[in-house]
Amino acid sequence: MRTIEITPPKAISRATRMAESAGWSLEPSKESGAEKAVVNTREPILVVPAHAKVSRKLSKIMVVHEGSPLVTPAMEMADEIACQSGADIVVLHVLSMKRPFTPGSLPSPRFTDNPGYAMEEWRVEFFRRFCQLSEGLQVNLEVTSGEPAVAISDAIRRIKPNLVLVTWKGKTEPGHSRVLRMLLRDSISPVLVLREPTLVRKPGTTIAPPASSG
Amino acid sequence: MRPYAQITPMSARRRKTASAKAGETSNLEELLESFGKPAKNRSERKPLAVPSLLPPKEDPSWNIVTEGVDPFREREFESWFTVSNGIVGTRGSVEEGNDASDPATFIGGTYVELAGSTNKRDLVSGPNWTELTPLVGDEPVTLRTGTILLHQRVLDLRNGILIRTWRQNLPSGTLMTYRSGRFASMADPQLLVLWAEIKAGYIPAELGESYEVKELSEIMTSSGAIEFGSLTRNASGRTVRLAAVKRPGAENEQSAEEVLNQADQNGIAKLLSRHKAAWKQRWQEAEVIVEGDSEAQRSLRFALYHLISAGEDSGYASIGARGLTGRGYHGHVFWDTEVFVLPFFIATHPQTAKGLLQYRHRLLPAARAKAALFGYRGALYPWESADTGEEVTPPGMTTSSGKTIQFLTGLQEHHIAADVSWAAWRYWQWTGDEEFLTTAGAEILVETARFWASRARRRRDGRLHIAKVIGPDEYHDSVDDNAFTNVLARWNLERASEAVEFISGLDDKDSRNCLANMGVKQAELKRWRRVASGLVDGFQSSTGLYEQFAGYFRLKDMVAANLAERPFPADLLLGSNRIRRSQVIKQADVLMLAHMLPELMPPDIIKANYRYYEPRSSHGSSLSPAIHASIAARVGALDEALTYFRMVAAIDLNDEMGNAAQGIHMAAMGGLWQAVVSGFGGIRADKDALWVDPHLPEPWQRLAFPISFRGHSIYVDATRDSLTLTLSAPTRIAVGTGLPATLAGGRHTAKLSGDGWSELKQVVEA
Repeated sequence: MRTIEITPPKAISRATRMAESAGWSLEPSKESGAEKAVVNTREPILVVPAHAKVSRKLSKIMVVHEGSPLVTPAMEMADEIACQSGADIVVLHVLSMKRPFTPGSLPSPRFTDNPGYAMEEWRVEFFRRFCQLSEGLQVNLEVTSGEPAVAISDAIRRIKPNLVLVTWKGKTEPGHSRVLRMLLRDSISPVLVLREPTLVRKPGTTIAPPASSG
Repeated sequence: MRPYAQITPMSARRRKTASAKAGETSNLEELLESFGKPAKNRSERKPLAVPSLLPPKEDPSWNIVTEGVDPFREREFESWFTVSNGIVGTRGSVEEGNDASDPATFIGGTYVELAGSTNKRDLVSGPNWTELTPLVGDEPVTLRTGTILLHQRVLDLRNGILIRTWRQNLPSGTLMTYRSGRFASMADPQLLVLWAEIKAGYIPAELGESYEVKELSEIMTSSGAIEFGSLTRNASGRTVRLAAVKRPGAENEQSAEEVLNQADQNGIAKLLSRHKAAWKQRWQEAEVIVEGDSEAQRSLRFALYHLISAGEDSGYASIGARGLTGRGYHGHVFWDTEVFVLPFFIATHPQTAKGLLQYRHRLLPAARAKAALFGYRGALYPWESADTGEEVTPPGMTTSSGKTIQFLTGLQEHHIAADVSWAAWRYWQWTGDEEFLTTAGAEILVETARFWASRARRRRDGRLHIAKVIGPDEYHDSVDDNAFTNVLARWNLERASEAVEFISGLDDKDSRNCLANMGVKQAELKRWRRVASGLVDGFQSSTGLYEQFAGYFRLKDMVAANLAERPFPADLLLGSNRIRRSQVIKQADVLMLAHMLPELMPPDIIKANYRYYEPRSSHGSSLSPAIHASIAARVGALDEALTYFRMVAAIDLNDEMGNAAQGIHMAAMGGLWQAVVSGFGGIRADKDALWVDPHLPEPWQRLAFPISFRGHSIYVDATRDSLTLTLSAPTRIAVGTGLPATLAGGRHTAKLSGDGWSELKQVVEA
C-alpha cells in the first residue's frame, strides 16, 4: 500500500474508503490550499475540490491524456488503481491542432478523409501507443473538442468518474496550467495529480519516459 | 477484431536439408553465391559481386533514415519502410519482432470476407515471411536485450531496398552486430528477398536453426487460394530467404514454387541486380528533380517511391487508399486512385495506368448492378471497391459513446462514375492508345454516360438537375446540383459521345465489335447531348463563381481561415451540424473542377474561384492541399502553392493525420506529384497538344521531370527564367499562352521575360 498526500486534509475521512480501494493510504498534505500543495510536491497528490463527490468505491476513473508519452505515469497509475479496484478506465483526449513537440506524441488528426475510418485508425494507434494496460481492464477512449479546460470540465460532468488523473508539467507562470487550475477549483470528482516526467533521449536507445515516480 | 486469412501449409512439400557446418561458408558473399547453384559445384565457383549492406551515402535525399528505437512511432516507421511492387508489399518491421510492431505482408487485389463486420472485405495479409530469431549462444536477442549502441534503418529509395544495421552490447558484455537487407523485386514482382547476418565475437550466433527449409502454404481468400512459398538457407549466422506469391486466378503469374525455383537458380546477386536495374528504369521514367529545396526533393522522392511501389500492370488489382503499406481503409479502392494516383502513372509508366483502368473495366458488371439497384441505367462504380466491384462502403459505425453514424458516401458520392471516366479519357488523351479505347475505355465512358443520362431529372425550370449527392466536400451531404458532379457528368456525356463518334470512324474489326457490344444508337447520342446541354452547373457569370451546390451561397459565410490554423477537421472541432449550415468546406470541390478540367475554366475564372473557396476550406481532407498547391501555382500564388506543397509532404512524413501507422496515403503521394507537374510545371494536355507553363516558387532554382506523351518521351527542364524541352519525337507543344506548334525531336529552349515565355527555339546540337 502506497501513501499519498491529500489536500485538503479534512477530506481524509471522506476519501479513506476510496483510497483503500485504490491500494493507498492517505496522509494529509502539510500545505494549505490545493495549488500550493500541488506545487510543492513532486509526488502524486490527491486533491478533493470543494464540489467533488467522493465515492466509497472506484468504478470509473478518468485519465486526461494529451496524446503524449509524458502521460505514461498517469496511465500506469490508472492501471494499478483499476487492477486494485476493478474500476473501468476512461481516457479523455481533447483534440488539439497544436503540433506536439514531445517525441512519440500522437498528433490529433488534422485531416479526417473519412471520419469513420480516420478516427478509428487514430484510435487504434492511440491505444497501441498509450493504452497497453493490464489484461482484462475495460478501457474506453473519449475524444472531445473545444477549449481544453472547458471540454474536460464538460466531460467530467457528463461521464462522472470517481477519480480524475492528470499529469502536470509543473509550470506555474500565468497562462499555464489552466486545466489543472480548473480541475482543482471546479472538478466534481477528486483529482490525482502526477508530475510529468522528463523525457530522456539518448542516441541509439529506446525513447521512452523514465519509470514514473511514486 | 482484426481479420485474418486462413493459412494452410501444403503438406508433403516442406523439406529440410542438413545443416551447414559452421565455417563451411566463410562469408556472406559465398552464402549468397550458393543460391541457385548445384551443390556439387559450389567449391569450384569464384565469389560473385554481392549486395552491399552499407546504406548509400552519395545523396541523403535518396534515403529515409531512422536511428534508435521509438516504440511510440514504430508502426509509423513500418509504413514508411514498406518494400512493395504492387503485387506484394511488406511493412518495414524488424525481423525479430517486438511489442510495438505491426508486421504485415499485403497481397494486392486479394481480400477476405469479414463475417459480422460492417466492412465486407479486408485486404489479405500473408505470413510474416521476414521473421527471424537472432540467437547468441542459445539466447534469443531482441532490442530489449542489453544496451543498443546503434539501430539504424535506411530506406534506399533509389534502389527500393530496406537496410538495417543494429549493434548491441549484450548483458554478457558481448558486442553483437546484426545487418539485414530486403526488397520486393521490381523485376520479378511475385518475389520477395531478405538477407541478414549476425556476429557476436567468438560466441556462436545464428538466425534461427541452421538448416535449409522450403515451405509452401495456401491462404484462403474470398476468390480462391493464394500460394505463398518461402525458401530459407541459414549458415554461420547468415540467412538468405526468398518468398514468392501467386494470386488466385492470376493466369499470367507462375506458381509460387516455380518462382522460388527460378529465383534459386538465378542467385541473389542476379536477383538484386535485376531489381536495381528495374528501379533504375522506373526512376528514369519518373524522377522529379528540384534544386534549391532539399526537403522538397526528399518529399518527392519518398512520394514517388511509394507510388512506383504501389502499382502493377496486370489489371488484377487497383491501388487501395494506403497501397500495400498498411491496414488502413481495409485496402479499399476509392476515387483517390483514378484522380490522384493514376495521372502519375499515365505520364510515367502508362502500362500501370492501363492495368488500373482494366481493373475498373473488369468490374463494370458490378457497377451496372449498383446503378440498377438505385433505379438507374448504365454503371455506377462503388465508392469503395475491392475484388468484386461491389459496394464495400460500410453503412455506418457506432462510436465508443454509443452514437451511430450513418455513412452516406456509398449512397450519394456518385461523382465516382465520372472520375473513372475522366481517368480513362485522360489515359486515352495522353497515350493515344486506340486498342484501350476500343476494348475498355469507350465502354467505361458509355456506361457511365448512360448512368448520368438516367440520373439527371428535368424540373419545372426546364433544366436538368442532379439531386441528393455528395461532392468532394463531404461536410455537405444530400445536396442538389453539386457543381463538380454536374459539370463532370456533362463532360462525361460529351466525351462518351466523342468516343463513340471517333470509334465509328475507325472502321476496323475491333471498332465494329466495340460499337456492336455497346449498342449505342444515334438516338441515345442525341439524348446524351440534350442532357449535357440541359444540366445546370451553378456558374454565375456576374461573379465568375461556380456555386458549389444549390443554396451554398445562402449558407452562413464562415471563413475557415479565421477559425483555426489550417489544416483542421472542422466537423470534429466545431460539430458537423454547425459546419453543414456554413460555407466551411472540407476540401477542394469547385477547385477540383479547375484542377481536373482546366480547359473548361479560363484563368480569370479559376482565379476568382480560388480566391473565393480557398479561405473557406479547412482542408479537413488530405486530398485538399495538393489540389490547392496546383491551382495556386497556376494562378501565380507561388508562396501559397509552396505552403500547400509542404502541407501535403508532411501528411505522412510528419504524421499530420496521426494515422501513418495504418499506411501511407497514396492520394497524397499522387497529389504531390500533380502539384509539381501540373501546378509548378504547368503541364496539361488536350486533344491538340501538350501545354507547358512552368512557374517556380522561391527557393526552387530548377525543376525537371520526364513525361511520356502519346508514346514519346519529353523531358521538361525549367529554371526561373528558362525552359528546355527535350523531345524524343515530333510533338505538338504550346508554351505559356502561346499557340501550339509541332516541334521536331531534339532540344528546344525558351526564355521567360516580362511578356511571358518566348517561342521555343530548337537547339542545334554540335
